[in-house]
Amino acid sequence: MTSPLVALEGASLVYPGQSGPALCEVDFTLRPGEKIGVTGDNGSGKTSLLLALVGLRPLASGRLLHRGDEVRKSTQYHDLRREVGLVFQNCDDQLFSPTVIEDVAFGPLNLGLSSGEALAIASETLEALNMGHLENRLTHTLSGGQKRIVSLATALAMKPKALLLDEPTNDLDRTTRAMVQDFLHRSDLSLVLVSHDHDLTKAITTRIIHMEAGRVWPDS
Amino acid sequence: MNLPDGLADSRSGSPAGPFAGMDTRVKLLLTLGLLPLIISLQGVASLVLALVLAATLLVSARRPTRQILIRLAFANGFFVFLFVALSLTYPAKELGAWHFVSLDGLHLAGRIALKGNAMLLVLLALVASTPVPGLANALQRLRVPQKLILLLTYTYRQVFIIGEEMERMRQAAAARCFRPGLRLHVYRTFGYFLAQSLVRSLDRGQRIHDAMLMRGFAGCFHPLQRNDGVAPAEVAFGVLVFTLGLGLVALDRMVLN
Ligand SMILES: Nc1ncnc2c1ncn2[C@@H]1O[C@H](COP(=O)(O)OP(=O)(O)OP(=O)(O)O)[C@@H](O)[C@H]1O
Ligand SMILES: [Mg+2]
Repeated sequence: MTSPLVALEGASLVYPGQSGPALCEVDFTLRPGEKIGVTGDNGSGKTSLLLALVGLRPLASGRLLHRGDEVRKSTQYHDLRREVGLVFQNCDDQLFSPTVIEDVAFGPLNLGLSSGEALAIASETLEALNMGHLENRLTHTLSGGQKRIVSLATALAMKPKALLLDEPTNDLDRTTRAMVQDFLHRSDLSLVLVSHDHDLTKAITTRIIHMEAGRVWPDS
Repeated sequence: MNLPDGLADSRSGSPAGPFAGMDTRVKLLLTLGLLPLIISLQGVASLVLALVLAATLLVSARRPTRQILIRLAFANGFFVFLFVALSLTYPAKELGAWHFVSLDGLHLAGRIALKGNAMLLVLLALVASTPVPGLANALQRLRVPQKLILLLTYTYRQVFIIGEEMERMRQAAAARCFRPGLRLHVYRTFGYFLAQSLVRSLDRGQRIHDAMLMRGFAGCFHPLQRNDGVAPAEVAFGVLVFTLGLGLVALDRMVLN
């Protein structure tokens, strides 16, 4: 079996000031090419799982592994996040630059590419998602659905191996949702897809897990 | 929202007016050149001429009239206050027909108002015709420190998010029949709005930092450079207007002596 891209072992996560844990001794593995759906009620810990998988929230206990090695140092976090992208549940958190193209080019620039290369990747990515016409728009003038697709573009522009998506089809109309579904279905990215949209999860993923009160169960 | 300049332009599609398409560096440098010249003017006549020059710039910039008038009204509200304060308090050699009015005070307030308005008109014509992203790009190419520019651009984005959030809270309250008025309940609600928006901003700061980390941010910003050169005509225009400004200063000094 191929070694996991990213994994959690016995991971628990507690937010400051909260009594109970948001994640409770979770074991989770994402292998290359795998597409995992995550379902669960509101507050069951789905977003927390994604944040833990890229080391954005410190674990109270347990380990985070990237390609088999425990992630501890900041360079290791950097390498992990280069391979595993995250699209946030709230687009206003994801999009922080004043214009669309600057936001999409932000990641490639951080990877050390030149302005020209970064711009080319950003345009290309937006084009692939049928959003080329939004390139020069001011971010705050986008509609909710447009923000959602641009958020996806910002993560894709990093050319990751895996993508963690937190409810990526919220605010999307039927056509755009179908476009996203088709795109994710065809792509060879590993995916962790958090969604309340069961049809989407069924259509795209190879395996579904269910979360309840911070614990992970295989879907029945 | 009326806050960040250049917004009206960017909302209504392609920017209007000859200055909108002009290289932002030329506009910024021209503004930086003109403002000290205006500040240095002393005589009323030259100040009036400066105001006329600035107004000409503004008219040819073809900015949305309503927006401009609102901004001018705001600024001149302050000057009205200045007129009242200085005419009553400034030590005078001469008193007006009404004995409590200081003519010197009025004179001084008049000069300040003329200067202020002329500077404001220049800013409205040259700087406010540039959308903030373009402004940031120009500042970057004028080698202004990265950190300051990023502060400007990210603040620009956040101002809208906070504004939208305030608006959503206001609508949520209005949908539940909240009406402003002079009641304790109303004050408390406004307090909550303010506190909530502060708490949410803090929270959002954390999440935006997360989003930046996710895209490889390691403490150092890499600007996007876009290369479009300055046309000779733009430089010539800048030099011409600046020379007019210098002429005004020379005139001012001659009249004074
Ligand atoms: N920043 C935070 N501070 C404190 N507690 C938090 C924070 N974020 C989440 N929690 C708590 O952690 C638990 C799990 O939250 P999480 O956001 O992971 O749920 P979720 O499954 O993504 O929910 P939803 O479907 O509503 O998005 C919840 O009980 C929530 O109240
Ligand atoms: Mg969530």
